Amino acid sequence: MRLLSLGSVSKYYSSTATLAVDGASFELRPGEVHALVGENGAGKSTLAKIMCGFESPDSGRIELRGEGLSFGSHRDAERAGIGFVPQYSMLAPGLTAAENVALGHEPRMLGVFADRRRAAYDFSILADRYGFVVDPDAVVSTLSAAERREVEILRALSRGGDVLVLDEPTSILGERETSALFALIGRLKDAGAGIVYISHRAREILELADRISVMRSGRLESTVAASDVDERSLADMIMGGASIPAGERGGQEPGAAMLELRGVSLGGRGADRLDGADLVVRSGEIVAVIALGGNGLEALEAVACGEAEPDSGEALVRGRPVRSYARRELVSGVMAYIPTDREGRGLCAKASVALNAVARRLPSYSFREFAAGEAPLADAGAILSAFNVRNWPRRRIDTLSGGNRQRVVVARELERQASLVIAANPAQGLDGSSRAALFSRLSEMRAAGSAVLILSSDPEDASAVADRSFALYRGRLKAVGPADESAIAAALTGAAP
Amino acid sequence: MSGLSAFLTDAIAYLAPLSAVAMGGLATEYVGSLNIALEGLIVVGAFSYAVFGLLLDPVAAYVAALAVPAAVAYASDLFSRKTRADSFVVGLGVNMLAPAAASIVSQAVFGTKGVAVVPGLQAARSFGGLAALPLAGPLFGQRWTDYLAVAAAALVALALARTPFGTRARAAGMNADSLAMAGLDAGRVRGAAYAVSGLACGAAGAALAASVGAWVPSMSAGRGWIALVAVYLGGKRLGGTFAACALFALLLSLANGAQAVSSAPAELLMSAPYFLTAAVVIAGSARSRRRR
Repeated sequence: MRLLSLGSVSKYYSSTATLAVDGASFELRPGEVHALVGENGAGKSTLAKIMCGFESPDSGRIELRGEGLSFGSHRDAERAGIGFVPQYSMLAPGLTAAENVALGHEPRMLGVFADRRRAAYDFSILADRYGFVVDPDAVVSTLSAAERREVEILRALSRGGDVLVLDEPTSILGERETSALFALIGRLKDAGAGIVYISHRAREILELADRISVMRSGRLESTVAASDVDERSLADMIMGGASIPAGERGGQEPGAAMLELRGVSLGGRGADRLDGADLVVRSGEIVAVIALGGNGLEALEAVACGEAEPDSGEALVRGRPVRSYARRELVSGVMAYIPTDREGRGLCAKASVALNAVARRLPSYSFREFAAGEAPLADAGAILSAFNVRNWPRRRIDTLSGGNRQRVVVARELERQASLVIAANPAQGLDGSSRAALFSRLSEMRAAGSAVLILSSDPEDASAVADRSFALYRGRLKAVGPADESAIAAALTGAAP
Repeated sequence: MSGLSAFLTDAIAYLAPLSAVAMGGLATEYVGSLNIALEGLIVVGAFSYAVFGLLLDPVAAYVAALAVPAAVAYASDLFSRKTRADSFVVGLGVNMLAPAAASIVSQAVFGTKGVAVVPGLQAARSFGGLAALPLAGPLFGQRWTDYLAVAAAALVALALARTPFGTRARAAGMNADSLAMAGLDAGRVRGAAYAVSGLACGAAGAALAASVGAWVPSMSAGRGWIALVAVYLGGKRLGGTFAACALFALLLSLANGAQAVSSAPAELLMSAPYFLTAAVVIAGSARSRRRR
């Protein structure tokens, strides 16, 4: 029995002259989680968009329960019972959570007016049913990344379909939100729904998936039962063979303190706050701080990069308060910064890939060089080649997939030897080989004397390269042994040691 | 009528069309593409009212004064969406084209490129009996077209604040993807907002033409631009925009009134509204800079 099936679907983008999906056939059964894996740019997101009516294929068929369909827009797909959770936010930031979910299906009073109370009520019923806790009247821009993802999931579920397509849903979720999501997926599955799950995380896929399909260069190469693979072979399937090098660990003694937090407290949004954090990152070492959503990681990031003034305590970069630096000074080699909020703070969405790649070098161009455009374009090519971003320097960056955008940010920030690197969720959206390139570049920078601070919600980021690791739980830092995952897990969840 | 109540009556007559135009502008600001053709659309509305007033009757003229600018605004947006032309440039084009086209048609219909009086088109003052009331007096005795302009402003404001259309318009301006996720077409929402702005400008144009019962070239007198300024000064919010409109109406009718009583040179007083606008803009931007 097939729920959804795609037969020999192809999609060609003339703007970039790429065949994003090349004759892919895919089927989804009721009550199964079907994982879709592959490198960045392999065509997973495009295939998902075709299933959900955002893109129409150039050729091939789509069938739902054996009936041929063609979607003119996502609304058609939604009517047919297909919900979509996009990789990056497609919410209106100034509207409330309830308004976003109700958009296009607004409950009305007297047939004309928007019934906001009804929308908020419907939202809380929906959130309750699926075990989420989000304030219906909270404006989306004030929510944390994890809460926004929950709103996004609720929107997909609100139309009551039986096919759900999730595009890297856990990339910014903490452990608690992730397990809530998994429990939810389990319940939907038991109810007979089919779930398409796009992810790079081997462990998650093995935990969730019934079948796994691998995409490479737009082709759907193979489909296997999840019970036939182990973590190792799945990782190879996802990464196409690359693995994370161990790196030169502990080759030298750490040098002078580059970043120092002394008793820093900051009351952040909701639960996300810091409570008297002390942390030193010296040159020649990599320190990782791991936290689940809402435990103070966002506050720590804001203080360390100088965005927020601590309520008490000090944040020093090379012995000077970080807030006392002029932005230009920080950018010119003191600090490299990969923000969690890639779309809002890491990129200029309306500029080209090349311009985003050379953003840090802009002050160094003369007007003539910049206007001619050749020097920036050549520099962009050089910067991006380190992370294998090719082909589209002139495209607007917001036409790229999330993983490719992340590669641009990482390539730009790690291009030069900065004294201090602050990398917040640096591997979000990256596939295996890019992740490996990221961590090997960070170890290289450590060997050359950079101080590196990794802030992440993924414990694997710490075990990859860090010399020292800390868990952040309810705003407090706790040292944990490197690569000791069970200790990290205990500290992260506040479990007894 | 005392001097004060005459002044307030004047201010309200100024505010009525201005607030309609500003609310129309705000609708397009909500969708993230401020319509800068408001000035030209007022001209289209006023001229349509005069032409159809001559050919048909005042009610048909009023309907045409709403429909024609709405259609022009919708078409201009459709043009910039389909050809991917910059909406700012298209809007400037409408502003330049509107008076020129009116002038040509005016020659054909009225036989003049100048002022064309249309008999029977001047709108009557309504509720005149209540105009003597203390305090509330100036609210009455306005022309019915002014009341309709206020109604248009109120309807647009209500639509923006309280209907799904308003929510969708805001969503379109913030993140068009959010509409795509809801299965809605951001382009259509934008087109609707443009049509609404044209309609509101039409109500204002009709009110202007009806106040003198004639078509007067350049009778919009910068109201479309002042409305754009009001949208910005008001922080792109409903209440703020209306407050900015009220401020302009008070200042401008003050300057108008001064012409009658002051011995200052007439040229200076006639240019006072524009100086006042500039002064308010400078004060407003200084304030918002401080806030940042």
